[in-house]
Amino acid sequence: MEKDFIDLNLFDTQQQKIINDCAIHGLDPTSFANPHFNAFQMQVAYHALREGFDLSQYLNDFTCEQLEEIRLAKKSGLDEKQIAIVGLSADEMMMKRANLEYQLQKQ
Amino acid sequence: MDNNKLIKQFVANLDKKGLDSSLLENDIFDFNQKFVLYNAIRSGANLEVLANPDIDAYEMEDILDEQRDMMKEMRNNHGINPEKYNLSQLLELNDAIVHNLDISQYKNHEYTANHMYIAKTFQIEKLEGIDNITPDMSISELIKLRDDARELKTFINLENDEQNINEQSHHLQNNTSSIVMNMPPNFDNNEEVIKFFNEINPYLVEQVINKNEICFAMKGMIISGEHAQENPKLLFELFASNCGFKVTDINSKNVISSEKQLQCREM
Repeated sequence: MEKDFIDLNLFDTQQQKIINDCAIHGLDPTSFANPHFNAFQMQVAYHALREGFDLSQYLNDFTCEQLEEIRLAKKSGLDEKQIAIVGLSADEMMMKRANLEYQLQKQ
Repeated sequence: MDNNKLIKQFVANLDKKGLDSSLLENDIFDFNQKFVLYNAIRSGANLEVLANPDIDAYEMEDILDEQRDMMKEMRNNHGINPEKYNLSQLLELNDAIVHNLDISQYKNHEYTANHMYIAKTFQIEKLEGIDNITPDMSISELIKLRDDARELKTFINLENDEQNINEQSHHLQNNTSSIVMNMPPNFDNNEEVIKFFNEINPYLVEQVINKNEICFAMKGMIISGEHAQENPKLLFELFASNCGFKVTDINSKNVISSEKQLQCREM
């Protein structure tokens, strides 16, 4: 798939909706517009994009729940690499994020 | 994997943790909204605010993030170090925070998630005795403590009811033996009738309006229905009588001074 052309026929309705919503809001969906990613992964990636974060490097390796934790870590100003560890469950990532947020606040 | 299968997987994940997944099985929400709700449930967020199909999924995401910020801030303010807690405990604390409950009483990590959950029910149901919850109590002891607190609350409510009744009697006894209404109620005007009864005895009167039918309820006794519709004067007399008055015509010469009288012109 070319970077600047998204063939919507390759996507299901839900994925198309997110790509369209992203484009309508003036953001570029090409970083997550891949039929290989499910609609919920794309939803988190779009949410992150709205906040100015690009999660595309994590889309291949993490589930939508894990991506949500990575997004929240970035939003909290943490180094998301500390929780974006393949093998950690989403819940483990959540606890790790909460700990890191607490430590950051204490500083 | 298609979206339906993913939602089923979310449901299974929640069920495995003993969290209520029913919202995800409700088709009033679209896929995007269900995903936000799923994230909300797994974070212990306040679903009463979020679970509204009229709220767009992206807006729901923003609301959820606001709640998460609040959880984080409150946990920090209370000095809660997440390292000392397990996920279930954190979810209970998060839930308490987003429901504006004071977590001081049970924020200590020595309280299990079950202790926290039961302590929250004390706050929600406004039960006495939350101070008696200690980390060493077993679940059955906690439940017994709560049952006792519920019983006590019921008893106190009954006592308060009795006190209200005494106040009503006192109010009636303090009334003059004869009340003359300045303005007789216009029985075709519900508001005027209600105002009138409220002036007679504010303790007893509560209004229940159902469609076009007006009912006057007095401590569980409702005078209503066909009689009220057909004969408002009868309703008035019944109600006045239940308030402890005898209804007589102001022009009547046969006034018994020992009885409470409600004298009405034009009656």
